[in-house]
Amino acid sequence: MSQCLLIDILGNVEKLSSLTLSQWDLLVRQSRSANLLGKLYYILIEQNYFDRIPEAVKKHFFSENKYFEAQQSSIEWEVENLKHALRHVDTPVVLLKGAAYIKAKLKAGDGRIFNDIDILVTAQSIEKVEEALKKHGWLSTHLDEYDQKYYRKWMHEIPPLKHYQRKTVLDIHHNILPRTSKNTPDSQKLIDASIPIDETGKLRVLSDVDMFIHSATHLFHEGEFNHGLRDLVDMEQLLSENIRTDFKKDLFDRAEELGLQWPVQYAFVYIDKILNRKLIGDTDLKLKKKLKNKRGLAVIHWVYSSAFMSFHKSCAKAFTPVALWLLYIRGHWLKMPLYLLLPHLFHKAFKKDTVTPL
Amino acid sequence: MYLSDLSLAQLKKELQQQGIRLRIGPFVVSLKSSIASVQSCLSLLYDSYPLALDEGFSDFHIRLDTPPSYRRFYKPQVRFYFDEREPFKPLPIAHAFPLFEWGLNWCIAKYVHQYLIIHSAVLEKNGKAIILPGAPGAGKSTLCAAMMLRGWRLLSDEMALISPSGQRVRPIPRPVALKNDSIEIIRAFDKSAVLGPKSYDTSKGTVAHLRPTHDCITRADEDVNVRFVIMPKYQKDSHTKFMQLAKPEMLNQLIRNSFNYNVMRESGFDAACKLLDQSECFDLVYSDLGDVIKHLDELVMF
Repeated sequence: MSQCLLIDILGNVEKLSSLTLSQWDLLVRQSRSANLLGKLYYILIEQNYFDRIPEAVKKHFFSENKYFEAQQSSIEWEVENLKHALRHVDTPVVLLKGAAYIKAKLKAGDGRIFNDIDILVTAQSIEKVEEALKKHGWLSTHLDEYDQKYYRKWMHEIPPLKHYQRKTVLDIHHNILPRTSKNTPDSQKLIDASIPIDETGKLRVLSDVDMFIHSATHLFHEGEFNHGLRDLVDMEQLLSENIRTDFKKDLFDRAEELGLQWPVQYAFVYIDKILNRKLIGDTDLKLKKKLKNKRGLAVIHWVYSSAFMSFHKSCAKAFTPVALWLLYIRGHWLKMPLYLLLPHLFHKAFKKDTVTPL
Repeated sequence: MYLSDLSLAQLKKELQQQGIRLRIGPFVVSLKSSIASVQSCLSLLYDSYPLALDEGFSDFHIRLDTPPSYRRFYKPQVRFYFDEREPFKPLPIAHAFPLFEWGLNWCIAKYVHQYLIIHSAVLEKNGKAIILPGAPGAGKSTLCAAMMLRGWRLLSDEMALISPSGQRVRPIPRPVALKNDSIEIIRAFDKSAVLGPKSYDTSKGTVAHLRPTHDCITRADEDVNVRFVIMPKYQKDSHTKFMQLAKPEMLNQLIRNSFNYNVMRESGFDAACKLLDQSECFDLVYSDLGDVIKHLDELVMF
């Protein structure tokens, strides 16, 4: 067994049977660091493995699950508030990622701990959305003038809003990638295909294929990989739950339509590689060939493989910091052209920490 | 094996290398530190705590260190690591031991949701536990320290771990954090009290820790029935006065003083209600420690 127990276990739960107590100790630390302890609890229950866990370890899973349950009911409540606040604004409210998985009752939501609620609304409505939310107590968190301008001019979201009483954070998007990225899809297509999850039809989640595409796009455009492994597990769960036979074909067709094939291909590659699955079957020769033929990919694959292992020191390798630095640059590179990127990184590097007023 | 079985030199070596695994109430805490004041305070205040075997599961991994940088020489600081994370800003190195105590409180409040945790002191005599919740500055730690020195068993000076059934409280005995004037008050109250060094100018003023009595540590596995919930308040020159407090009011106080009520929700509410069903509730005003303890002794006599 390698030092990276968590990845071994996610690849094959049966390996748990040979763990010593000190290996369990490492597994809990790695899982907590990867923000996967809550998810692992559900995975172990699903695989009928939970009863075989040592008692000392069980209580940490129970405790994390208690936290998850509290988060779940807080999400329910926030979503109700959100619906109420936006009832007069003419836009569908599409929940993204964690909140969507939970509200759509997907396996990917089980035990998933997250901080922010992400929503997607139409670009035209964004000012009205912000105004309505402000009236209901959600206030802008980024008070710095540069940040405000930067978000509003270049990003696919407005600066996060935080509720002044409940402290919950809302990220409001009008697209899934920044305006400045060359991969930015037409977000209206995503909204049009979204699925209603309440009786009014206002509250929505992305369609099953779009959900996967969004998660993959987000992950592989990200410059920071704190939740990389967690997001990969999300996607594996989205796939394994979607058992309809034409799902994979629909997924690639849709990705092509949106111009987002490569993040989906990457997701398949790393689910196979890191989580020890066999998504890319021998029949997918086209995809295999495509991924093999690009020589430049070798560096990128090294960067990502290291980054997926970077959640805990016990998994990291000697050059992991270099990989993470390259990933940070790549993340920004994918999001904006150089003439915008350089001044932005310059500003970030030299700006003084402003003291936020109390 | 107990911490006192290690010589100071051995303890220092282990803390610097593989770390020690300390049994503190229901938890095993894996601890590393290269900081001299942490090492000596542990040796003084945690001497009768049991050590867990080398290999095994630890609930929390804590490390206190000065990182290798210029700060080692210029205004050196202490950093608290929870496994690899650094949840707090660094503090001046003189606050290293209090930081360990506060950091451990944080670990428990954040990651232990199998209990309803209430910010309060807990002590026991004759099989009856008293929970003493109280706002900071109300004199809860001083009273708690004095009770322990008069033969009460300390279950905690900082947090009551309430079982979900609401009836039992789980001991987590730790050194009692005394602040400002109460340090000298306790020293004068009992000449035999063993106190660690003072840390000045912390966020809570001057802090020193009182070593728990041997009995508290050896009986750290015995949970107890709660019989009284009392809100103490030190008031200069006042007589000792117990005033019955309505249970709904006390319920509010418990919830307000809980670290994890937001996580426990219904189960926390149920536990708090059951706890109060079997307890008598009082407001307590006092100024004379000897006198108030006499009254508390009578309360648990029968």
